[in-house]
Amino acid sequence: MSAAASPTSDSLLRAEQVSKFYGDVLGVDRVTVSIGPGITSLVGPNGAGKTTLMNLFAGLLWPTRGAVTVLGQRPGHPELYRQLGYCASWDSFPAGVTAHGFIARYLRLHGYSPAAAASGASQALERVSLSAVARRRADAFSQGMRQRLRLAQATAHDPRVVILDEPLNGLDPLARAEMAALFRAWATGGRCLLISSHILHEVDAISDRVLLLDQGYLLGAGSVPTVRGEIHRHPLQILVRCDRPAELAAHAFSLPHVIEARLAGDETAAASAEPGAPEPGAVLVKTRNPEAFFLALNQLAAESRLQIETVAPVDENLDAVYRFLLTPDTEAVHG
Amino acid sequence: MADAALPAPRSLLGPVIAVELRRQWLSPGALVVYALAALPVLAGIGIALARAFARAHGFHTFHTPPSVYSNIFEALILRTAIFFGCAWMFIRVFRSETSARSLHYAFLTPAPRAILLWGKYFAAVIGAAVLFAASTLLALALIASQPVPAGQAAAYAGIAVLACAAYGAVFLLMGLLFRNPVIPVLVFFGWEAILLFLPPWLQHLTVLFYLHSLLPVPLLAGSIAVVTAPASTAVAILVLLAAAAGLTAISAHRAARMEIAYAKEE
Repeated sequence: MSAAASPTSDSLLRAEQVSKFYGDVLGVDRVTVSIGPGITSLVGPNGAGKTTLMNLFAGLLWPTRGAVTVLGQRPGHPELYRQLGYCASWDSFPAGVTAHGFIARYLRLHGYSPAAAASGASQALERVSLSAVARRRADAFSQGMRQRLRLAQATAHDPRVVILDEPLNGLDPLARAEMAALFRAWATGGRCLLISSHILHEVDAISDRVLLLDQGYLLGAGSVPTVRGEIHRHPLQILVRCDRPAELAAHAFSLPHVIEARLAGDETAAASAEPGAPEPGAVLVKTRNPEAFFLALNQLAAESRLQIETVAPVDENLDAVYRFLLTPDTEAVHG
Repeated sequence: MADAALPAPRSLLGPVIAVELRRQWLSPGALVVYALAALPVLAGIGIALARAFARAHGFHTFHTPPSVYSNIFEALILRTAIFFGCAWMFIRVFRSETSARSLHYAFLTPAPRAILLWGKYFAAVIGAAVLFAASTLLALALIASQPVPAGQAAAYAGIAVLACAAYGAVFLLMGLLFRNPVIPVLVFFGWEAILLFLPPWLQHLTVLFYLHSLLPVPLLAGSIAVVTAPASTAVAILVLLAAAAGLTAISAHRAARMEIAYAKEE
């Protein structure tokens, strides 16, 4: 499984130095990324370029510069769409069509016979729990039902690569859990799923790796910890629980790569304390070089017999990375 | 779903036409075209009723000579019903899906964009041709005071079909080229309307000139009309079909490079 800035041999989706401009407006710029089987999440604030990148992969937009390939073929190649499913973010359907009719019509354009298309439509709707409303008009559906219908459309032809733009929007918690399980089932079958979402804790839970986009630039790609390492200048926050926190804080502050060290008697330490534990004695350290800090911490522990209880990064999840994306002093790492 | 037996993308024209026939002609948007196709029939019913009323009350029964029907066909069916019916239907072939934000579903299938466009065009032509040919024949039967020879009736129906194909190709391209095609449609209508006052060489650049050339009964032209020798039947048919094919090929080329950017359409 891979999601890397440089192309790999098992790449199913690949973008090389891809730029897309809408007139003078930047969509994405110089994005190079390679995505293999498994679930890859595309995260970033509104306007980051997530939908633009997905539309480029799906062949609904053409790159201004650079090249995009899906399964080794340029988007727009007809045969590609037998292997590619795309759930776009547009919440719309052809006027007056039923859920079953919508999927069956789509499968007819894939070349399935009317009978096979009808059967495939029923299966696809069953997969997203819409069988009971298959004969109802799609434009009368609730937002969650419409979302599921679009998921059914994207996967009705059993594609190998599935691109899902905000697929969890509008779903209730139970449906989200069902969809997350479905995504995982698809991915374990060897498929490639590219998912964008603002629901970061769910993306965090189901993703094998992430791509971080902001203002059209790729900031990082890989697993969450890897991406954290790729984001230069962003300090990692580490909570160290020990017996002499003031001494540790003073020592840590003298290290060149540590930019902040403070006693964590605040909500951060309190939140991480176990019930019934004594008053937390902890230090929150912000460092640009976690490995060097861990080495220094080991030395201090050995030399001064510091009793270290726990050492844990406090923000190594997508929410923290996402919060970082929104800070104005981010230095982009261009693909 | 197993896909071993699926047809090659280029052979998806049939399914595209089948899907588009339902989408285009069973939608509320098609009601405008049905109404326009009904217009000549309603006019024919009016004339037939007037004739029956006159006969029943012993008034002098009026007759409609063949040239009168030819003029009615040209003015009411070709210039009005078919022209505006095709404008409405063919411009909407793509624009209705763009405004509904549903065009991308078709673009995400193995059907090549060119095949999609030709399929949409053929579906629109088939529907319009059936509708307006039927309307033409019904109106002819109602308006003519004497039985019309089968050859003449077939000629009028054939002209209606060719008009749908030619005007359809023009309006399909307009729908792809212009964000607001109303002005281009009106300009084109004006261009076709002044046909009889154009110099002969310019008349050859109108659709109506070739349709007129196929009329089984010549029009009653006004005294200030510029009379031009009609094209031969073969040339007229070939020019109309070639123009339709050429314009649709340009539309197909444009569709192949089309991007989905719905926001720009609003």
